[in-house]
Amino acid sequence: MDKLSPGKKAIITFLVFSLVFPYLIKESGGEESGDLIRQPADYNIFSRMTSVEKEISNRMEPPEILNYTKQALPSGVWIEHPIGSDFMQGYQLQEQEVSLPHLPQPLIIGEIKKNPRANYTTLLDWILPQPISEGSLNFGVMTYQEGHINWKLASIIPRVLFTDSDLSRWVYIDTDNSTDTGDDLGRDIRVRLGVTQARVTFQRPTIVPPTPGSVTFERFAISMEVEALGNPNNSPLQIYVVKAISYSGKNYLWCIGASPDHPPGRLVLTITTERIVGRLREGGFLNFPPNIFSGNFSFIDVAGPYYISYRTSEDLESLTPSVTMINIVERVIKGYTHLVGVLTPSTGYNHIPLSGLLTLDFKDLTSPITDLSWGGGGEGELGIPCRLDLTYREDREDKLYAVAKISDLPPKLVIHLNYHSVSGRNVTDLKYTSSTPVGRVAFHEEILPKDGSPVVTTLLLKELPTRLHLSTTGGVPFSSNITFPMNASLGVIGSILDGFLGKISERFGRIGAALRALPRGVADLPQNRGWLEMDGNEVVGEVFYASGDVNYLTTSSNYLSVYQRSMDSKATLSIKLKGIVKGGLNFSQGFDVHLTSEERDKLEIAGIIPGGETLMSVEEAPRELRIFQNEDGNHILLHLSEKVEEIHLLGRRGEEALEGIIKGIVGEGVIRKEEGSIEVLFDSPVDSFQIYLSNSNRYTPRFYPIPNFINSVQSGKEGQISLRLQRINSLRFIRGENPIIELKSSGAGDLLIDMVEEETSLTLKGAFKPLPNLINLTLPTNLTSVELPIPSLTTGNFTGLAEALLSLVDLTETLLNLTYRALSSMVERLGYIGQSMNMNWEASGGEGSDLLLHFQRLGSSPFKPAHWTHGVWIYQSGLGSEASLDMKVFLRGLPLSGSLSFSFTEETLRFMLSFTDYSPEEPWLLVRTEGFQKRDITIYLSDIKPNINMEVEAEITTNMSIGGRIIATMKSRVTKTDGSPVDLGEVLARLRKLGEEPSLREIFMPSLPSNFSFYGRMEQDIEVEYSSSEYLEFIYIKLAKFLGGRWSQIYGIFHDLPLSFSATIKSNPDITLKKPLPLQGFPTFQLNTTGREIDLYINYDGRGVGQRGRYQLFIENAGSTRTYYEGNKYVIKSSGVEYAAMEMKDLPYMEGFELKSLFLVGMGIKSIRMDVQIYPGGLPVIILDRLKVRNVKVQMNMVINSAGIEMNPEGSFYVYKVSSEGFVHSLSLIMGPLDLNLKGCEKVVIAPAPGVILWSEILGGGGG
Amino acid sequence: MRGRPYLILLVVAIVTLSGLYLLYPRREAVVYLLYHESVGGGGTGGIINVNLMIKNTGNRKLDYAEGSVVVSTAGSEVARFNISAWGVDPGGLYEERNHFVGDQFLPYTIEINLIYAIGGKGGEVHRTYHVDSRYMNVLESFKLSP
Repeated sequence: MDKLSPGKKAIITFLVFSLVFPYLIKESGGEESGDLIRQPADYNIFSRMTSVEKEISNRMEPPEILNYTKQALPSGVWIEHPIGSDFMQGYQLQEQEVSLPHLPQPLIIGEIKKNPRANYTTLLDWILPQPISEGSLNFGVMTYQEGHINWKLASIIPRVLFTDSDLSRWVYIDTDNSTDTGDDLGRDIRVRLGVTQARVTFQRPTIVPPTPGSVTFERFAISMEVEALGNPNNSPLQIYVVKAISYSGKNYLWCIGASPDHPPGRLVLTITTERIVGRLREGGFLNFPPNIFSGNFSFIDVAGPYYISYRTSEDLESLTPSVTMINIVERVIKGYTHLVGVLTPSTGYNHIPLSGLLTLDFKDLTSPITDLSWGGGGEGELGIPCRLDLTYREDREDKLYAVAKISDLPPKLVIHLNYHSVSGRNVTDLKYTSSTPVGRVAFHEEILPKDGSPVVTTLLLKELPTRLHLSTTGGVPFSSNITFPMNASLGVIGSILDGFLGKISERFGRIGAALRALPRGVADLPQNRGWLEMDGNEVVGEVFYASGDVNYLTTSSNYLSVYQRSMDSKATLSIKLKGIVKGGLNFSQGFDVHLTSEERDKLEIAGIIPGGETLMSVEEAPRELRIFQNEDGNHILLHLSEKVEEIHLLGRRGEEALEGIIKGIVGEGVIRKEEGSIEVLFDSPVDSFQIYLSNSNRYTPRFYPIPNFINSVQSGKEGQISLRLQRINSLRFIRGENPIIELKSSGAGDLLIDMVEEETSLTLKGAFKPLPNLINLTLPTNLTSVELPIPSLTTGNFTGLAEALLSLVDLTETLLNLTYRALSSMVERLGYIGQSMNMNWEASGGEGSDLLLHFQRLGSSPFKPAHWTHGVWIYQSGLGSEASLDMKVFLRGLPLSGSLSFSFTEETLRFMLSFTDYSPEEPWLLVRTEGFQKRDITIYLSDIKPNINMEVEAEITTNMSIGGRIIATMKSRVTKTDGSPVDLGEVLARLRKLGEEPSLREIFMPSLPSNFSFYGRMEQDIEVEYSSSEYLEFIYIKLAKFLGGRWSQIYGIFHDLPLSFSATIKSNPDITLKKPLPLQGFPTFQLNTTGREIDLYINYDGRGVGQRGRYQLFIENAGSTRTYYEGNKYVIKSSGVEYAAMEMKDLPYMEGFELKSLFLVGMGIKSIRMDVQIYPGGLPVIILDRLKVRNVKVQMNMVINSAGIEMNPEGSFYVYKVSSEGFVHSLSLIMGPLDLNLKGCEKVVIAPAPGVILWSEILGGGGG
Repeated sequence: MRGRPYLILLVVAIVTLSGLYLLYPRREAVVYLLYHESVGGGGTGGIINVNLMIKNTGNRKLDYAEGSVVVSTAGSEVARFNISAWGVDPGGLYEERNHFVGDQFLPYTIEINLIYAIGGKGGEVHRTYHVDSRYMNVLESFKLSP
């Protein structure tokens, strides 16, 4: 390898050059050398920084702040708030009556079973022996009086053979088997059954269109007549008419009973239908007459309305009509249905109405009943009321017993029923109108399934108004059998009678179906998405409802309770409500329960279900109350028309316990859950919102005598949470990477936070004095997967309601889990990079808040207490689970509204502050962290004026590794609240990064102007932009890096700053071997200023950023300046630089030649163009032209090492000047520092004088 | 006159030798490698130039020189550039400039790998230079002679 040896060649060339021009002219020194070298001014910045540091050290724990923190964060002021376990003591477990197992079977059933004729099952067999026809018109009569049973056989047509009746169809009965009573023959009563019709019409068949003939009976009626004979036995009498029918291939016995308190002179029971149409079978004209006479019908159409009536000739103290239908299969009674009504006089009356008419209206055979009316005749047109006890009993596979007691049945009563479909659901609308209010309706029903426990339902209505509207999906869908196969052998009347009774039977059977479905009708509303809506124009005095198991839960107040003994048993829903005007249970679109009551009263929802018990109590419930949850279950609405003093919720499940107290709530409250967020909103502020939760007997909730408190004590997921917030408007939690908690309130008062996590040794104490109206806080942790539950009211049945309330107990687990995860996640991340925190707040008029926060974590790493100061102080050591941390935040006099935001990433620190109407108690603010996020930070701001608006935004990105970048942005705007500008005091910001390569960034400003903007970027190039509303004295910026056991630093002082300036230093990597190297690769510089000229001092140790040399640049009064290249020439142009000095040190330019230092000074610089040419032998010649500069001084200290000889010449130069004025040329030799007066010079050529250098070195005069 | 033949012979010899020098094929080129650290600038790192220049010092065309220059420190590559010089006439120059931002205080290793052909004759060269971390500028050179 051939090596060029520049050092050696340079020496040889210098020697040759020195032989040519030895000692021609000698010039030494300059005219202004005394003024030329100035000591760079530090403008007292460092002493001012020292005094600020001293000031900061006095900001640690000032007595007034210490005293305030002790008062604001009191210790041990709480008292225990145990959640009672006896909150259900106001409730009793009562049993609904179950009487069915002990009830004797109805008399008529027993007697029919005893009667051998009942064992004949076919209709004709039972009535008459074959082959006698028309037997279907026969019927049996049974009476019971004083223990005597009598059976008679009668016919509805005049017949004497084979019956006990006479030609007038009467059958005479000695009911007491005594000849002493009754007529002469001892017969007490006579009974007959008759069929009547107002008109019969025949419709002949037609050919076009082909229609079979038909026969129509208008007002077809069956009447049962009873008449007393002579002097009858006046003891109570039971009379039954027993008629066999067959339809749909089944055999039944029909019994119609009438049991008066004594045999009346005359009693008529009538069942009438408006019209019956019998269509004849096909057969044309020829078959019409035979079909008519044989009753050969294909179809019976029965048109409503039905009329069921009674009439007596004299006052009765009671009348018990009954209808019984007995199902006979294989000649054995398989079941029966028994409906009994007992009419007794109302209070104030001694008899029942003389007549009664029940009308059941329906459109046709295929339609359900649409109208039901009752009219009790008697005194005058208005009629009189009576008491009605209605008993329905069904004995089939399941047994059913239902009793309805109405006191009193009004004289006039109309029920209109409308059936329609809404969204695929069968809806029944019921409109009830009565002439007088009904005092009491008691309904009780027992269903005894073949297998399983009884289902019992009790409904009690008191003071039923005269008008009521019910809408429900809970009814039994109506279905009818429109094909009605007839028994042709029965003849015309027999067929019609058979069909008529069959139709009634079908409808009668629906009573049982409806009753059987009744408990499910309500209980299954949630499951079937149905509803039950009640709308009364007047008040319903009281509603009591219990359905389900025998046991139900009851108390004295209005309530809704759910009781379930065990997982295997049925749940009982029980409701008691007084003074209801309107109410509804609607599950069609979620859960919607609303209630309008006449007066405010206590309302409770209670539940005892397997695993737990719960109670929600509303004192003075409002007149209008609504609880709604949508189908998705993510939206719950609570509407209260009037202010409720207290809603109290209690729940307990094992060791888990919950107590919630809401005081002073009115209007609407909403809980809304959306993707990743949950919020609670109130129309108007809630006076007080309290929650106490515990999931362990070891932890008892706490109460603090402070308006608002948040407290938790836990060890892992076991612990307690206590919370009281007052005047709350809304609460919002948004989970995610940076979870947000937002709280809105109105004049809530002070807040104390006291949280302890024992497992991770964490404590958090904090206070807001008072709580601002809006707090929006971004938590510095990751809670993405935390799910806050919302109680689900929409699933299952009514038991679900209790489960939903009890599910609030789950909140204990969830919240403890949430805090545990938040805190443990925080611990895991302690010390690691990549966290952020945002906080917004807003307060209404008056004074701002004070914020105090003390967060402490004792890990295995060394712990050091942070100091209380006005601002933030954090000490941290170690990472993650080993970390120890102490953080103290004290901000007194927070502005009325403001936001604070910190964000840390590996390289970037963002800070944003926005304060409106800020008057801090202390006129200074200090943020100091030690070890936090592997950084030490100090931010100090002094002389903060009162009544200011302040916005500060800063972002610092620092990567001081080689090839990294440093970007700093800072904007601030400070004004008085009236908008006038105001400056704040000194600003010191210091960021020290810890770790293997510690580094430091520091900014110091004497004041923060009202309007200030700074942008600095240092990557491969350097760029600075600055603007300010005021002239700023200085900005001091420092960057330093600890390398090789020492700090390498860059610091700059911008002094006498103009209103704005921008500066760029661009690196210039375009180097070529084709041209001389010395001037290549210098950075270019551009400075633009407005307002005034700037002073600049930069001290730069290149090692910190991997660059050779140490530099010092000092510029005074610099206007806009720029440097650039013209080819290989380096040009400086400026509007004027009063003084510029640059010192470079430690540049080992090449082997054999090291520039120990180069000091360049210029004055009055406006223009310089520099060129370096290398002459043969490597001799550098410097050419300066286009000179507009007053003085230049160059002082160089170099080391030349050649052949082991080290020389340290001070430098001697040949200088050739060309004047710009009179073509004056001069040549001089300058020994020592190159100090040139270039005033008036246009060009100068400078060449080293190596011979002189060598000679000087030999004589020992060099060095320096 | 006696000396004139010698003089003529000398002239003839000089002319002949000059002719031979000009006509005799000289296939040679010099490769210059520059390692240069810029003074100041470079922000958070020093600007370091690594240039390679080929000068055809022979009297035959440099047909091609292809290869790469790889800069590494502590075993890690920090810069790489390709050399692709084609048809450089005698006396002509080819220069490849490259720079990177690095630590000017680190010792760098520069590897040069070239295959080339001059006047129809080819060759290859592999050189490794260790730049002394004490100096800002290093200029190395070597000849290409197939």
